[in-house]
Amino acid sequence: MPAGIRFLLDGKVRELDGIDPTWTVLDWLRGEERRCGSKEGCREGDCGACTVVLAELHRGELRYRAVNACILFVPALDGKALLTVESLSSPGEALHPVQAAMVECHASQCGFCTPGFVMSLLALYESEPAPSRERVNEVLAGNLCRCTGYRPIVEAAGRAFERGGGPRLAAHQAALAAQLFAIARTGTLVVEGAGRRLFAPRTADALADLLLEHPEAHILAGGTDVGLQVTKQHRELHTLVSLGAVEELSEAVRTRTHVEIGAAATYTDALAVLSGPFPSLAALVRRIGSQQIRNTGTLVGNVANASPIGDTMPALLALGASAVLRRGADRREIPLDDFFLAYRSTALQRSEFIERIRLPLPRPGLRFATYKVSKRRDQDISAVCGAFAVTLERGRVREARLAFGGMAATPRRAVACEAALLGKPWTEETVASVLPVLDGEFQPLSDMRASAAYRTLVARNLLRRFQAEAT
Amino acid sequence: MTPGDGRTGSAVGRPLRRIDARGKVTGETLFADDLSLPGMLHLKLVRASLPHARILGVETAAARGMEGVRAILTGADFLVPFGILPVSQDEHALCVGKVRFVGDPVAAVVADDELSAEEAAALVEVRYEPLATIASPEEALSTPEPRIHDYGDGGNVHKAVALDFGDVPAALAGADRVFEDLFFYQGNTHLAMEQHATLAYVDPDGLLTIASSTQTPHYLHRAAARVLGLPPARIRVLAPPQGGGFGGKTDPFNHEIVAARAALLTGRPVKIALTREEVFLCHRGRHPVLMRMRTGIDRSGRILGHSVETLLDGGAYGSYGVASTFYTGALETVTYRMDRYRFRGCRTFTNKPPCGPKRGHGTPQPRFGLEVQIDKICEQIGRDPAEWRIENATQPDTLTANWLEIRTTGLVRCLEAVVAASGWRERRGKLGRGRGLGIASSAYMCGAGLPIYFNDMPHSGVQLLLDRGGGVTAFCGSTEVGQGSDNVLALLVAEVLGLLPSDVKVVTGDTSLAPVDLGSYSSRVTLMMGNAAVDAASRARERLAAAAATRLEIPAERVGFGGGKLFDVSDPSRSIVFAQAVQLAEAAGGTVGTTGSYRPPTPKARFKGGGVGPSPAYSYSAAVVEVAVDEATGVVRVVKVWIAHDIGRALNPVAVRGQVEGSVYMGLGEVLMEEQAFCRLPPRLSSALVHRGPSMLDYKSPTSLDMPAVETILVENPEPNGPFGAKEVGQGPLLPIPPAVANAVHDAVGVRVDESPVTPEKVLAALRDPSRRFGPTTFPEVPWPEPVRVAPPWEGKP
Ligand SMILES: Cc1cc2nc3c(=O)[nH]c(=O)nc-3n(C[C@@H](O)[C@@H](O)[C@H](O)COP(=O)(O)OP(=O)(O)OC[C@H]3O[C@@H](n4cnc5c(N)ncnc54)[C@H](O)[C@@H]3O)c2cc1C
Ligand code: FES
Ligand code: FES
Repeated sequence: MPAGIRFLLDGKVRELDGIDPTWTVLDWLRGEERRCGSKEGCREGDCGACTVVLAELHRGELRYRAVNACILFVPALDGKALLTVESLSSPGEALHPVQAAMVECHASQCGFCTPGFVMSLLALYESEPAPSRERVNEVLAGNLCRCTGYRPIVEAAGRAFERGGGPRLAAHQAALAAQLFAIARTGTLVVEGAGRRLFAPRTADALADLLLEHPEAHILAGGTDVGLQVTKQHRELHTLVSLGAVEELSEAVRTRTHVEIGAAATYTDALAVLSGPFPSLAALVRRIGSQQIRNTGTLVGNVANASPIGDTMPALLALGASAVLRRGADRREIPLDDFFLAYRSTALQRSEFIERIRLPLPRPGLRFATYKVSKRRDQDISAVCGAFAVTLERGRVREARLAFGGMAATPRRAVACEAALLGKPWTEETVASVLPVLDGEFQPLSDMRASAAYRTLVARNLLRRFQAEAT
Repeated sequence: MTPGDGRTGSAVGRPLRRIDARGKVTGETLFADDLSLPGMLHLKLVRASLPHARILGVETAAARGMEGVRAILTGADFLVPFGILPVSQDEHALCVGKVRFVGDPVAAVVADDELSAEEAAALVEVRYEPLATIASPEEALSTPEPRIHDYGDGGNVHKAVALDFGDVPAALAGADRVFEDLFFYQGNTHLAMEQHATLAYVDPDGLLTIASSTQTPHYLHRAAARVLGLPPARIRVLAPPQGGGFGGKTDPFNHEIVAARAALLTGRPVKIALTREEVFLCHRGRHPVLMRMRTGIDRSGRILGHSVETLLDGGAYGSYGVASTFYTGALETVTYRMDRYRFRGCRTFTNKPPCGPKRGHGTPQPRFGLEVQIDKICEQIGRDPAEWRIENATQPDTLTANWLEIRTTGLVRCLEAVVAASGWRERRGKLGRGRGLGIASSAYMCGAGLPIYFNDMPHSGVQLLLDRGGGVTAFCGSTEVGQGSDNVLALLVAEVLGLLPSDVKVVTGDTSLAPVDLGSYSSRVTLMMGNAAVDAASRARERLAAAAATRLEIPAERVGFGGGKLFDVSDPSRSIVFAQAVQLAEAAGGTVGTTGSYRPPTPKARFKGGGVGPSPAYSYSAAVVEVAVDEATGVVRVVKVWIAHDIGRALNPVAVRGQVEGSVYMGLGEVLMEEQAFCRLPPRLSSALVHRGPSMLDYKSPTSLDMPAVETILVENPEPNGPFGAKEVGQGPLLPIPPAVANAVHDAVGVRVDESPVTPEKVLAALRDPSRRFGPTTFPEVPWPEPVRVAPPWEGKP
């Protein structure tokens, strides 16, 4: 097995060796290949102008996912097929149905955002036969357009699907699958160049070993946080160990008692199992980042990153989730309550990684909801995120777990407020009576997202809303 | 294609596809950053880390010694200043003597690749002597020293203007009621998706070419010639299609000029592509404006006197600021009758990225104030704000108090249309708590009546070349920023010549190949370039008609154009094809090339300061917005927007609708979330005044999920000054949106947020405040100059 990165572009196998493992796919495309259809609008996963599509074999099936090329490191292409807007049509050839619809609907003014929209729609078109309007909007929310006001783009999507014709790339699916199969790798990918190196093992054991061997290494999951650290904060990451290719960690499953989400499971993967038992959490996850971010970012990465405003943590804390940590052959399971130690500091030790997150399935009588308050509906960092789980017994609170993000240096539970609720009737008056306790538990900061006063007020109002909605 | 009657073509008014659509969906359209040349070098700017400081020294030795570094430039290479307005030539391509905001470019590194340039730039060391920072207009007024610039109207005041159209204090004294309100409109930026990029190169014959994302190649051409000391004929500026501009690419920029000099110096092509952060620092976006409005009305609600004072935070340089200042007052009079009008405007320098023109240039801010104040007045006097607007709307063929000439106006029709479509009368006040409707209207110009530098030449020129194969090529210096100006050019030429837009090739954005068009700003292109195009095409039509008439043996008046043919209108079966007509004309009179040009009519306003505001025509808009306000979080969700726009005549209704919706979108972004805001770093980090979040992560703009349904109604009322009756649409429809949202929030939950953006936080604060209001409470003392006194038309001569 050759050491270099191998992937498919326009039906050809491409091999890249000795490259800087933090080279982004966008820089490679625009700078090296001079394929300029993918645009740079922000370089941080916010605008979608750089959207490309990855086709990969997942449990034997071909799937297409839109991702942001600007924060994706080239090694992530290994074993996959890369599609850019140039892959869709050559001059003179007929346009792909989504492109044709974009032309007909006047969905392009300046056109700078257009290739990105085309690629987002392409991934949808090739994977879902008849998405709802809502689903189309969800997919498009990761692409900014400053000219059109979006209506014509949404209309173009509708028209492309209405006209049908089914997946356009389907004709080549078998060939593509065969090619992907041929470049599939069994051992660890090692990429070294420009003084940096990256290991991408295939198994959890190999991952554990590599981390023991390289205790200084940074773990790379989807890279939606790490990518920004490189492109924006210019952090020097010399050794990276990527867990994205560890198939056994990409599982998101529902057991009899738990939902278990592996470290390599993307938000998109996780959604499939969260929607049933935790609709409110699923709704929140659908608002994290954008479709592109959800296609690469992981829930476990959100936890490991331990940002005080990470969106999933309040819900996980309220639901009593635990993390399975692994170091070498040793495993330990700790409640998330004990995971966040201080600002961006966690219980993870050197060479240790989170293998998966375990979420107990809701018991009967559990009321749960999580809310995110931000300026923009999608793809925006929360000012405040709240999650509440309350179990009632004959109208009284038997158990309460209230957790907040954006209110302290870590995502944190409001334990005093929880205690104050115990045994009380679950009424508006009870909640009003414990609000002063809640106020006393947090001293949030004022920053550009919100002032301390606003956060405090919203935290209160979210709890009141939960009570009103969950009776 | 249907030939029609041959008198008029069949391009105008049809929802035809854009001529440039295919390249956009295939990704083949080449934007400035997509251009590259063999041997190309890369340029990076070293930017100031302090907001206000004297430059004591620039150490470049370490950077110079780095491998791959080809040249290093500093302020010493750019001693000649430039600026978009003749009255504010206050920029240097690289700072000379001092820096004025965090991000001001101090030095430049040219290297073999971008990474080396970036690394070398980090090695350039600038020694500074910090100066006191001026962070706000209030500070600028109270801190005359140190001065940010040594010109202007004293201290840190860049420009202060005062205009009186009649005795407003007397009018207010005699008024039945007088209302006084303070408003603040926050600054925001264009956020065009394309980041600025420039590629400069010198061809073997010594012609310097600057290919750049600029909306104003002609002005860049002038500035570059001046700074580089080259004859303009030795410079060619190219403006490739742009990924949006919205006013953000209308100044000549330092990086463009530095790239040009670097290309001259190294003899190699030099490229610079700004990062998103740098684009935030280039800015030239919406000025933050504090406003005080006083309005006196009589018993019937008629405005007897209106007074506007504006205080603009201009940032570190002049840019379009003098014009921006006048614009905060100029169009206040165009929508509603007012007997007398008083305007005071003051722009201050501050140590922040310079503000300039953004969609609506200087007018969305006072429009916000005026429309919200009218809502308050109507509430106080118990009038329906829609009815009041209809009753007080300005009339066609009238002059305003400040001598602007209104020819056609569709304002009343726009208001009536949105009132009907939104169910205003039936639904307003009946939507239940948390839901509300708000209304506002507005007007905008179709191009400025005067050019930026004084001259008697046309504002736009079009040249046509008709070739023997029947091909038509239109040359014009206009620039395609995404608004579809190339399409308008092709469409109008096609209309006159009986062709389809797709039959016309266009060559635009090129100062060597095409006649001057002043640029894509001020909503001037459709009207001005359009008239020039019709002029040129009409001359070509005459020649072709004469040639065809001879061949068909009919009088020239009987020659019809349509369907790619010239025919006898009395017997359309007798025809010749277009190419043959060109050949006959060429045989008869030589090469078939024509020119056309346009210069707007001389403004009626003949006083100092009267140059800003006049326009050949005004477009009008009205909007109703429905919102849902969450009282627990303060989050405002816009449910639906109804907007009507007086377009004169829609040359292409789908393209017009696209512009209206895009404007609505941008207006919603401004009023709900966008803000270009600054903060001071903590003392341990230099206390510098910095941008709060120069990234898309922090600067939020609406996504498709934030966009409500928009119902667009086009009001057609042909404007004699417009090509085929057309008026502008690129900017006007933005204007009513912010105030309509603020008014709707009031209708929904009874609070006034007199400040943009209307964030959840401000809504909650207003809900909790006994005054039920969030907004500014003081307006500082401003040393207004002696006013220019001009009687309104009904009180005397200008
Ligand atoms: C445009 C954009 C929008 C976003 N929007 C949101 C949002 O709305 N809400 C929100 O909460 N977040 C948001 N994020 C951040 C979110 O995408 C990340 O927090 C994501 O969940 C991290 O997962 P990842 O797989 O990308 O992690 P990576 O970036 O790969 O890693 C993140 C951190 O966790 C560590 N790490 C990852 N996996 C493990 C593991 N198994 N064991 C130990 N350490 C590990 C890494 O070393 C790194 O320090 C956004 C990011 C972007 C770029
Ligand atoms: S460039 Fe903006 S998301 Fe990649
Ligand atoms: S068409 Fe210009 S950004 Fe979308």
